[in-house]
Amino acid sequence: MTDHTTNTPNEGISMHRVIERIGIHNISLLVALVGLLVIFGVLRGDVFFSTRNLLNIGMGVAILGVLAISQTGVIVSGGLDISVGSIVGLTTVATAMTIQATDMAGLGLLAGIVIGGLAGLVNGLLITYGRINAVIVTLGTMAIFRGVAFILSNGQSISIFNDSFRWIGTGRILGLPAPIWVLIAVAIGFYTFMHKSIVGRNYYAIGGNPIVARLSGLKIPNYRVAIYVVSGVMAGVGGILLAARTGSGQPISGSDGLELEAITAAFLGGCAMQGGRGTVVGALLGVAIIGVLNNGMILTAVPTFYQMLAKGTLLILAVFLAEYRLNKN
Amino acid sequence: MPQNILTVSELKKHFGGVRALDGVSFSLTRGETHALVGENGAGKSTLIKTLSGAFPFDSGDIVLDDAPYRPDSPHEAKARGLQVVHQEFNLLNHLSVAENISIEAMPRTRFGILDRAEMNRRARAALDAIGLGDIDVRATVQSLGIAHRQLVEIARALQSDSSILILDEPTATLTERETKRLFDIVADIKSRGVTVVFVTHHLNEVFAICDRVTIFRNGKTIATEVIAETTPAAVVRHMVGRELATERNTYQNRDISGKCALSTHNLKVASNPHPEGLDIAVHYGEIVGIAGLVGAGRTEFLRGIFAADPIVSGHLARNGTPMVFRSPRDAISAGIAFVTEDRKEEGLILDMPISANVSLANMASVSGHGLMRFGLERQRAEDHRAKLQIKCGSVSDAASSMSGGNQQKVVLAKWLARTPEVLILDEPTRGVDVGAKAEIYGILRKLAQEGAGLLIVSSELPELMTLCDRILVMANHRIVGSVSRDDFTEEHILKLAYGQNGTEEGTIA
Repeated sequence: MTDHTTNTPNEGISMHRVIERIGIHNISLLVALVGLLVIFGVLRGDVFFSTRNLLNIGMGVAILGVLAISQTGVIVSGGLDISVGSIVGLTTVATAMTIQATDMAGLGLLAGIVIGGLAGLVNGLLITYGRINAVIVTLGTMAIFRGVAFILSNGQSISIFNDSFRWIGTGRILGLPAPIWVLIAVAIGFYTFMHKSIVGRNYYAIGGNPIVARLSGLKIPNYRVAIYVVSGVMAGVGGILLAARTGSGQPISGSDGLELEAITAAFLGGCAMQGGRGTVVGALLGVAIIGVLNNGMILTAVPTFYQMLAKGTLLILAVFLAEYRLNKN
Repeated sequence: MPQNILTVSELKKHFGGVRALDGVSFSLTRGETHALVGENGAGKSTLIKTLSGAFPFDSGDIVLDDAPYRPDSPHEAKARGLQVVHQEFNLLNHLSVAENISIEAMPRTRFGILDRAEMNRRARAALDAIGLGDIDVRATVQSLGIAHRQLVEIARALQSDSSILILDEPTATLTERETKRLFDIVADIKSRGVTVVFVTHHLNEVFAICDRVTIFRNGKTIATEVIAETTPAAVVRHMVGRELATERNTYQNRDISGKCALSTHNLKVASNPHPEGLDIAVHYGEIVGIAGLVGAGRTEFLRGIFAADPIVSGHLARNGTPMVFRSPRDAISAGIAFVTEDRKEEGLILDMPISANVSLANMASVSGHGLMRFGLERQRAEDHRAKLQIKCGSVSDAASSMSGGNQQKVVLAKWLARTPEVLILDEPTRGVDVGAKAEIYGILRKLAQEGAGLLIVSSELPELMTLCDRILVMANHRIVGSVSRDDFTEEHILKLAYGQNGTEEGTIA
């Protein structure tokens, strides 16, 4: 359908429209990603582009991808969830304990998702009805959920011997590892939710200007609570993937900066601190950059300590660029 | 021969493809009061920002005090004696009035510590100098009403010795009485030899206090006229490039025998000191206005009706049925729409596309099975764009890209999309230019003709007198009078509004 009413001169400038469609931001992320691929390809081209290594990267970012996408939803709504790493740890324990007790994979999945959702509900209720800043609430529950995970497991790693459950972490479909399929499903689901649904649109409105959103008839408290529940459930999915891959529930898992990486990816993907901005595709590109960077730093033997330095710098740089973009307008 | 203090010739400024200034030429003579008028988007704000050093111009010349002028920063503009009081407030809400006034040059004691006593004394003097004896300099800015903030801002601008003071729509937020006060202040500043540039949408103000007027249209200066030698009609003709129909005469008194659409019964909001609350009634097809001074409690009352703020006691009824709204959502479900006072903070999501803003309160109509139908949303937005004559590049542009009048039309479109039965409007044409104003009036009238009940709060009496079938006058959170169309005179309404305060001579019968 053509549109004769607009004044935008768009005849003939198809390249311009293509760029607009993808988004100038996503293009700069792609450029950065290609840049990293070139660097690591030159340094360790022998290993880097092997199928095995590429699948490694994919496996490495599957859990991070799930968390970064749901984190994008939280940040778009005007919030932040830094407790996701701890929820991952808690849900690996909950899942492992359930499977140990029942030997039923389905119940294990249910446990991970329900416990994750409950943890998110706690966050959401405290933030929305307790009127406490989201960063503070999730900083507190980050310690609390980790503590609960240690208490439940008595600090021990809990092994999982159920093969159908383990398949989720180790199986393959059409040559791709199952966790990558989970990430693809979550990405498609979230893309539809954030960019195609009424509810997703409303989250952008709430993050963009909560006063206007409320005066336009949105029940903001419900939306606020719900997005943290979703974040918790997605952390539960992450916990399930991790438990299935490692064959164990460990209270310590997810404590190695998972939330840091998820938040970094979300900001790289175009989120803004004050909410109302960010895309699922952007978050995925952010995840890819982090995945390649992590893998490349290992291959090129960058010492672990320096890797941490790089990750922290990347987060601050991502937020700086996001704010810089906003101020420029 | 009067001496020019500022001469602007062929000034141009482009933003991408938008020609914000496309050949602006005018001059200011020393000590005059010079009005800049023009529709929203005509280039006045861009010119002011250029003059104040907020951004550079592309081409043209400015001569200030016989020397070339090309400011790189607001600081440089101030150093050259040019001060601007902006339309958007630049006060720090959490700081006191005194701190705000002294912010650029805080007085210090011998030990380099802030001299609070001296700061308060200076602020007191600055406020007294322009007749603001009633403002406590220690009060925080956020505790002041919008009108007072504006006056504080002017007091601050006068702190530094400026030779040119630019007031960007200073009266947009003021009531008639406060506007009068501002005029006295302007006259006083002028008598000190300061050149005052006055940007406004109100031609009566231009003709009341200005010496000359320069008219802008589409980024160009169309004409500069001496006030004594021109007429408001001639100025409007320059502004819009066509004649405006004299709307008031063509207005028909409609038969308002419809049912009661909305009524309030002892409705009391938190800020209302009177326990009995307020009773009003709006019928279908009727336009009811609420006049009153700033601080009379008009906005608070509207917000209470819409459940934007909680109601303390009393209730309201729709079609005679008592209802309780716990949130704006309930009010919207009951067929009520609310165009808020502040479109940037409470009306629009500026970052979002125009089309998304239009569908914001009416998502169900642009979706199916919970999913957005973008084509339909775009189509609806285009429909409203045509119907309300919204001027924008594309409906997928951000709402922030439009001028104030067009933004206001988008806010209207958002609510018209719901075809509301009761439309509540708070200052519906604040900061909106003459042409757009007339268009908005037309839209509102049509809505009433189609049967909706309208309740309008406005600080512009002519606006209420043009639009309304009935005007309720509010003073200190009470309805002090109800005036029907046949009895509309500014004098009558103003007397009611002031009467309760005892500040006017004589008493109300």
